[in-house]
Amino acid sequence: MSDGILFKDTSEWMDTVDLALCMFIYDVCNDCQFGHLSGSDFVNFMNLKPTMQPAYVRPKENLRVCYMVLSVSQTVKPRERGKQWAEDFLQRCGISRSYYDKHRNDVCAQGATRENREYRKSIDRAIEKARQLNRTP
Amino acid sequence: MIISNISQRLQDVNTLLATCRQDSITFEQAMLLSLFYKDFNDTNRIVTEATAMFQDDAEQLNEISFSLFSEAGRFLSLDITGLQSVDFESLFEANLRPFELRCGEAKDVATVLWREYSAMSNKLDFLPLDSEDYKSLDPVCDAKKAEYDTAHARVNLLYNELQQERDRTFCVYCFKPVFLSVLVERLKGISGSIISDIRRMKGDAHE
Repeated sequence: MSDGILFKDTSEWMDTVDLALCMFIYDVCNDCQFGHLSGSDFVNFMNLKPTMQPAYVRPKENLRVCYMVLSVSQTVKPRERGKQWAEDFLQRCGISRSYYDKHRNDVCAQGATRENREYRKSIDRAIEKARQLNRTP
Repeated sequence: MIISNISQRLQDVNTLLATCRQDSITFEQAMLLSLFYKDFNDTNRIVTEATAMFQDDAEQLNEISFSLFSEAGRFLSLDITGLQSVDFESLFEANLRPFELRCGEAKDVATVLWREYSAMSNKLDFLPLDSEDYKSLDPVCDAKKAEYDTAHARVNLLYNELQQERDRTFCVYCFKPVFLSVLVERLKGISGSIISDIRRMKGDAHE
């Protein structure tokens, strides 16, 4: 028997997107791109696990969610796992793959609105903070 | 193994939160809270370690998990709303200020010395090598250069100190009380799951 089977309940706590990154993204997206969730629910939502409160994308936020998904998926190793996570997370958000492929970089485009540019910076900062937090001594 | 000292560290956090004035915590207190979050936010590692430890010492793992479960419960029963008003970014910046000031002052001293040295060096360029002025200014210029080199080395030293302090305390800069609450909720969940897994496996072994 493998340890995973022995430690059935415990192994269910394994995450694809680590806690620090989830929380920095929570700081940016909770109540903005997504309806309000508790911190724990948000971590579960990001990790495709059941939540106490229903998780949903707020109206007209799909475009921004796509950029967040792209950025977070690039932090997941190995790369294939990141791609799979993106696909499953988009499905959970009700965003089609074709919409994602077409719009995931729109907030970086030259003609992007000020709000979208600010949002992009916030997501980039969240990713950088998570990286730096776990790198510093 | 990080799993073996989470409980003790969480106990320190709980003691602090139960005894301090949460809305006016010091930098050192903010450091204790944020360092706990930094050191234990990798919950995947905790799960992996627990799984490995079960093979080596299930009894000790059980004890650690009970202790962690209890401390996490204690944390979650505390009222930490006072922490909401703390500006962790400002605490981080205030702690760095003396380092920045020292570095800035040393840089100013070095800049003045460099200007003085450059002026002398430029003057030497236009003096005949065998002139009295050259002979008297040359050693002064060398001494000034040595003085500048020492000051410059001090700037580098203080700049490195500043960077090290920035890295060491970065966890305070990006800390939010909600991060700690979520981590502890998960630690409680993980320790509860370890306890139930061990109990189940002990039950299976007795059947």
